[in-house]
Amino acid sequence: MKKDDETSLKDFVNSLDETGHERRAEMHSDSFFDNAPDDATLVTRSREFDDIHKHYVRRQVWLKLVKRVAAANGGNIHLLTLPGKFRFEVGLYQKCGLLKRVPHNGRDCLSVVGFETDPTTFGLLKTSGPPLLEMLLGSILSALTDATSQNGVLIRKHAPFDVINLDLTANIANQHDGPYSPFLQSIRECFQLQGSQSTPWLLMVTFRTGLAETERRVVQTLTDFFQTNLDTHLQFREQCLDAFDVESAATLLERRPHDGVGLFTGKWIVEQGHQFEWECAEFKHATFTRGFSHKDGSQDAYGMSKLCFLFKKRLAPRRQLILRQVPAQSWHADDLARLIKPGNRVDVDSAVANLSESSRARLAAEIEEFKQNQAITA
Amino acid sequence: MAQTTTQPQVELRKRHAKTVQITASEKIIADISTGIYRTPAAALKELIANAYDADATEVRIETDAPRFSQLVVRDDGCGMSLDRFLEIVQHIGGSRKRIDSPTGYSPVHNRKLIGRIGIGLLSVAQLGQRFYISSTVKGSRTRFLAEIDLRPFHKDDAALRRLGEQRDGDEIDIGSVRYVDGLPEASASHYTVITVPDPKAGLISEMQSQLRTFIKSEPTFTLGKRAKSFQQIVETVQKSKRADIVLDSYHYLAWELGLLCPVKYLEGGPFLPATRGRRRIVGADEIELEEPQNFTVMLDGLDIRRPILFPNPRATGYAGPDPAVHPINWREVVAGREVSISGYVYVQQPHVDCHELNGVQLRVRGVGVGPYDKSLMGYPYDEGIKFGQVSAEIYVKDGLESALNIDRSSFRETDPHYLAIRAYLWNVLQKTVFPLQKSAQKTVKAQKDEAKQEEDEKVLEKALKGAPAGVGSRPTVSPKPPAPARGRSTEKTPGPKEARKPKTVKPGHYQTIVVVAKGQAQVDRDELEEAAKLFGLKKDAKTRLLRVAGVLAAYDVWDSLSPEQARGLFHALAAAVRS
Repeated sequence: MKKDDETSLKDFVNSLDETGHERRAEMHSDSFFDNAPDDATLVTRSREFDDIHKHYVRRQVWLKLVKRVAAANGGNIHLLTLPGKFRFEVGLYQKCGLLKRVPHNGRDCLSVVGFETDPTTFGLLKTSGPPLLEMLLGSILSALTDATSQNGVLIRKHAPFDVINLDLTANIANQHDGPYSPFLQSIRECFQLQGSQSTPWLLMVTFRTGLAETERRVVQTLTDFFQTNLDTHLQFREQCLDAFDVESAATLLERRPHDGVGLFTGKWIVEQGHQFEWECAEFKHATFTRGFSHKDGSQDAYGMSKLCFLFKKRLAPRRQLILRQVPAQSWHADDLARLIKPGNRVDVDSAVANLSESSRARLAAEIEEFKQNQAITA
Repeated sequence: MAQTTTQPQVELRKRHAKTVQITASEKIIADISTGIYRTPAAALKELIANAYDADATEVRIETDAPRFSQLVVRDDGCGMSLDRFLEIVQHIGGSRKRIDSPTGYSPVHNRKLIGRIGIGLLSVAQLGQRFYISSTVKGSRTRFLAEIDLRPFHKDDAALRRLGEQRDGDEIDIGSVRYVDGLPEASASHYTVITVPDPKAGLISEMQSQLRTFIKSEPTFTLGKRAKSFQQIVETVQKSKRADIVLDSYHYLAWELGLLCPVKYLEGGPFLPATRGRRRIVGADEIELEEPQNFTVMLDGLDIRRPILFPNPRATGYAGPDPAVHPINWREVVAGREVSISGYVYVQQPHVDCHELNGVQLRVRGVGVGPYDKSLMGYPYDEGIKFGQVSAEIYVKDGLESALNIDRSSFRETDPHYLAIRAYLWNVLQKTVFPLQKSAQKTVKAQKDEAKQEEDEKVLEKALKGAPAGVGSRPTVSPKPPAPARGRSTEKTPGPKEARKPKTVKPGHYQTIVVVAKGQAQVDRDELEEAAKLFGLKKDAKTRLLRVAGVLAAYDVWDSLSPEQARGLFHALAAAVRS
C-alpha cells in the first residue's frame, strides 16, 4: 500500500470515531432541555404569536423598507431570520415576490437562512416547503457570537444579508447575562457580518422593554450614553423635548420606561453602526404591549419594541485616519435625530385600535392564510 | 389608548422536564442486541411504517445533505398523546397497535396495520444516540416534546444484561426520556416529528460516501451532482448492473427506501408499455399491482417511488424471447390462519440487469421485508442462468406477520406461513415459470435457426450463380430407395461416366454419391448416413456437408471421380465439417 493510501485509510478510519458523538450525548451538549427554563416558561415561550399587532408591524411598517432594500438589490432580498413555526415573515415576503429563489443542493430554495431552537418547530420548518436555503437548529445568538461553531461558520458562509431580523422576544440583557449580553454582542457581530454588503440593508430587532427583567447595569449604561448625546447634540435634545417633553434620559426612562429602553437600545445600535461606517438612513420604532396571565390568574403586560434600521455604507473621509474608533461625523448627529424624528415611532396599540374593520379583517385573513400554508392537518 | 393582547391562561406548576426510564424485556434485548438494522434505509423504513399505520398521507425526511448534521422525519399521521408515548417507551417491542385497534386496521384510511411502534423508536437509535420526538393529536390544543437518550442501548448485549440485574423482573433499562407536555398547538394539527440533532459519525461517513471516495469510486450521482428527480435515479439504475455502482450512498438510500417503503410505483411502472424502441412484456396486462393509496414519502424533496421499471434496455437488443410476467394469486388457510398473496414473477433474458432487483421480495402490507432474495426462497434446483432472469414481488395481504423477525428484514423460516408461501412460489417456478421460459427459449431458438438457414442459403445461391452445372443452393438427399424386387438383384452399377450421361436418376439407382438431377444436387441418403455415423456428424454438420457437396456438384467435381474416389472425398469433407 502506498503511503498516500495509508494516510487516506487512516483519515477514513478516524472519521468513524464516535467519541465526539458519545461525549456530546454524555454531556447533554446542546440539549434543549438542559437549556430550557421551567415548564411553565417553556410553554409560554413555545407560543407562536399570531396577533394582529405583530403582523401590523410586519405588513404596515417594515414591508415598505424591505421593498426599498429589495429595489436597490435587483428586486429580491437575502434574509437572515427566525422564521417561527408559521413562517409569517417569510410567507409575506414570498407573497410580495421579494425572496430570491436559489438552487441549493439540487433544490430550489428561498434565499433565507433561518434559526430555531425548539426541536419540534425546527423539524416542522425543516420539512415545510418551499425549503429555505438553510434551516439551522440552535440559537442565532450563539451562531453570531461563536464564529467557530458549526452554525457560526454557516451563517458567515451565507453573509452578507439584505435583511437581518432578530425577532427574539427577549430582553436585551437578562439579569444573569452581565452588561455585555449575548444580544448586544450579536448586534455588533451583525455589523461584522455585513462588512462586504454594498447595497442598503435592514437590521430588525425585537425585544422586551421590561425594566425589572433587564440587567440594571445595562440600562444604566445605556441611559448615561443617551444623556451624553443629549448633552452633545442640540438638535437631538430639541427633538427629544418635542417628542417626549423631557430633556434628560433619566426622566424619559422614569416617565416612559418602555419607550426609554427601546430608544436607548436603538441609539446604541446606531452608534455601533457608525463604528463600522454604516449610516442609519431610515429608522422605525414600533412599540406595543402584550398581556399575559400570572399563575394566580392576575393579568399583566410587558412592552415590546420592534426596531428597524436601514443602513447604508458611508465611509469615513480620506483626510481622517481612523485610530481606535471612527471619528465623529456630522451625519452621525443626523442619524441620532432620526431616532426620534416625528413619524418614525409607531404606537402599534393605538394604530391597531384605530384600524378600520376591513383593514383589520385583511390582516387577520393574511395571518390565517400563512398559518394554513404551514398547517399539518391533512 | 394602548390595548393589550391577552393570551389564554395556562396553569402549570413550576417544574422542569420529567424523566422516565425506557425499558425493554430481556428477550427483546437478546433479539436485538445492538444495531438491528442493516442499513439507514431499513431504520428509516420502521419510522415510515409507523407513520403509515398512523394514517399519515405524507412522510417528509430531511437529511440536511450534504452535511447530515441533523435528521428530521415528520409525518401528518394521527399523532399520539404523551400518555400513549410513555406507555410505548416503557414496553418496547409490545405492539399497542393491535390492542388499540382490534380490527387490525387503521381508523381513517382503513390500512392493515404493519408494525410495532417501540421497535421503530429503537431504529432511530441507529441514527443517533439522542433524539427528540414531538407529537400532537387532532382536537388537542397541546403537543408534547420528549428527548430520548438511548446511550445504554448502544452498550453491548452483556453490558445491557448487567444493567438489567439492577431491576426487578426481566425488564432492562435501555435509556431515558425527558419530556414536557402541554406545549401549545393548534387543535386541528396532527403530526409526529422526530429530530436527530447529532447523527452518528458512522452514519454521516456512510451518507457522505467517504469510503467510496477513499477507493475513488465514480458513481453517476453524488452529493455534488445530485439527481434531479427520483425518476432519473431509477432510469440510471435500470441501465446498470448494480444500483450501488451508479449511486453514491445517499442516492442509494433514496433508491432503497423506494424498495422497502409502502409507496407507489413510478409513473407507468413497473411494466412499461411496448414502444418502437422497447419490447413488449407478455402478460403485463393481467397483473394486478398492489399500491398504497394516499401515501407519499419525500426525501429531501425527492418523491420516493418503488424503483422498478421493466423491461431493462438491454432486453430490447437481445434476440431472446420477449420478457414475460406471470401472475401470483393464492389464498389458503394454513395452520388455522389465512394466508393471502398476490404479485408477479417477471422473467427477462439475458438477465435482470440490476443485480439488486434479481430474486424475490416479499412485501408485507406494502413494506418490503429485506432485499430481494436471489435464492428464490431457497429454490432447490439448479436453474443456471435462469435464476438471474427472475424478478418477483409477492404482496402478502394476510398472514406471515408471525414469521417476521424483529429486524423486520427477514423471516423465521420454520413458520408455517413462510413455508406455505415458499411451497407456492417453488411450485409456480417449477411448473409454470421455468418450463414456459424453456419452451419460449426453444421456440425462439428454432425460429432463429430456421431464419439463419434461409439466410445462408440465399448467400450460397448467390455464390453458385454462374457455376458450370448451375445447380441450386439447396442440395437434397435422395428419397429412400424402394425395396428391390425379388429376383432382380443383378443390376449392374453404372460407372461415373455412365452416371453423368443421363442426368436423370432413377430412384434407388445411384451411380455416384452425388448426382445432379433437374438442376439440383442430390446426395445419396445411405452414403450421407454412413458418413454421419462414421464421423459423428450432428444436424448442423450434415447440413454443411450437403452444402459443400452441392458446391462441388455445381462445378462438376463428382463427375470426374470414380466411386471410390467420390466416397473418399465425401468422407474427407465429412471429417472437415464435423465440428
